[in-house]
Amino acid sequence: MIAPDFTLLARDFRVLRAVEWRPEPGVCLLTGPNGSGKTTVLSALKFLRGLFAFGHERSLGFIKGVHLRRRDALPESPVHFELHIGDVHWTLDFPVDARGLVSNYGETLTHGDEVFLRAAMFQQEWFYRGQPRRFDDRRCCARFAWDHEEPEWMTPMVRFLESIRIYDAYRLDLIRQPTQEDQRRGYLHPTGANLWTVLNTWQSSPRLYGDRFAWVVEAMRLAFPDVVGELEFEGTTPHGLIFPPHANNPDDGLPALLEADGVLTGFLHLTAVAGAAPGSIIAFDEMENQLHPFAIRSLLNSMRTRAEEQGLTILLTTHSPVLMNAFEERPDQIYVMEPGQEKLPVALSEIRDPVWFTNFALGRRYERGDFGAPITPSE
Amino acid sequence: MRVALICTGKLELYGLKDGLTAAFPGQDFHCVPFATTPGGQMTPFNSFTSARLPKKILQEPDSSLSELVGATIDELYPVRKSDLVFVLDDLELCNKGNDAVVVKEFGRAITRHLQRIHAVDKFAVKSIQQILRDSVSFHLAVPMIESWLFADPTGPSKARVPMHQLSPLLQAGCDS
Repeated sequence: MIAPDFTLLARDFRVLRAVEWRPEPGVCLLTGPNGSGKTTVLSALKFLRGLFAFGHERSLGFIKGVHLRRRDALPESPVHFELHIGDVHWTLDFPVDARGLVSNYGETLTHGDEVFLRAAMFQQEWFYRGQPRRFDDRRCCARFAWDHEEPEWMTPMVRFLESIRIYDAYRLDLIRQPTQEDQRRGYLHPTGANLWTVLNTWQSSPRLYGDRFAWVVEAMRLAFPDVVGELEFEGTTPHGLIFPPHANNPDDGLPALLEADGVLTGFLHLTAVAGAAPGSIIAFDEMENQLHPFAIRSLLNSMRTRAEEQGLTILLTTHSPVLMNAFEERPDQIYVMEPGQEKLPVALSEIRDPVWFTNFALGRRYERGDFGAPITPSE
Repeated sequence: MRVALICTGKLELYGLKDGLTAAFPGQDFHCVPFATTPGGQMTPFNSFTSARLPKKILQEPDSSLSELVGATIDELYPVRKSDLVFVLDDLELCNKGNDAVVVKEFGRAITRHLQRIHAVDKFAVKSIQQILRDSVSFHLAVPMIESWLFADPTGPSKARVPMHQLSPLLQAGCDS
């Protein structure tokens, strides 16, 4: 399975002046100062996914749709997005003010040189295969076109959009005390609320879900060798029981209610990765939170293996020197929101000489402020 | 001339720049700290002489030493931040009499680092070698700098500490 080859562009979206990002396949890091827009880059992907799946109103809700435009942008300039996948180009322009969208947005979808559909901002009609149509639908124009005729050439873009999963807001409180069962069983919800439902389903349906459950548990054993041996479910408990290695007594099973935050986070990360369809793009905001360095390295190794097997692109925003040190051999997979660069994020290997990488470990470089550092008042 | 001072002690980190500037006015001395707090407080690099170095060392250079070497090369390549680099460590008591081994170990760490550079950019190695020969000196203080001050009551005045900043000299039998 080949990882998706895509380029994301954005302009004047929140703190981002100009984004142009084509991440390498496999596991990539995205780093930089607080407030530089790492999470906002992921929000752009989340927004495009939501826009295609549910329309702009719901999708704006996913990203708290106010203050969309960059503070210093010209008042008349729209918030602009582009997505390029192969020879398919989807372009969007949103006229906004501080409260949100002010009118109909612009949209263009081209295949090669052919303009397949076009909508101009502020207009009441749009053009589909050269014919005018009224806006009478909550769907974006590209979704309308897909639902209408499913052109073969749109398939890579649609698959890409549908495969995007952004994990930036786990709710450990819901995972500890699940009160209602989430209907989704195939993949993890962005909050992680359906963690135990998903794992329970995977465990009980190996023909449907293949090795997902076994892979998660094995990767958990590697990351938390003294804590996790087995994961079991009892009919009356909505959450898992985690047994330490070599436990034989049924009472040794620790309910999730009592489990450490780091262990739950490990389950969430791995379940998210295991649930990603081949060729998907999946992102974690500050993946290192709650985790011991050993667990960080172990989970990263498992993610890398899975990404290679399944053709995944896994994006990790981070401030963790531990994670960065694990990319010594692949600096081309570290992207930085580097102040002063024309377009962000930029691959670290593009802005630094190979010799620069030999002088210090990358995590030390980050701690020293040699890259991705905030601008201090004296600068 | 811009001169980088890479030191392993607080005394050197905070005192050497002023001392050298007084002795060589017109030169631009600056300290390269191991780390700087957001408040601007500098911390020095760790000494690599805190444990006795064996005469024949087979393993990778100590991480403290690797940091010193990395910081040294970082001042000069790929961006030339300084014209000269002075690396200053002092000989801890556990390495008394081991001066030659310590100096040799610094050279060995440089060689190991050049091998790493060779692996990523073999064409850069020769020019970096030349830059290091022309621009870097390693200084080992024997005995350690503090001992000049603390073991010899007249050390501070010899080091040109102004009279009003000197501690009072006490004399046995006279002062209590």
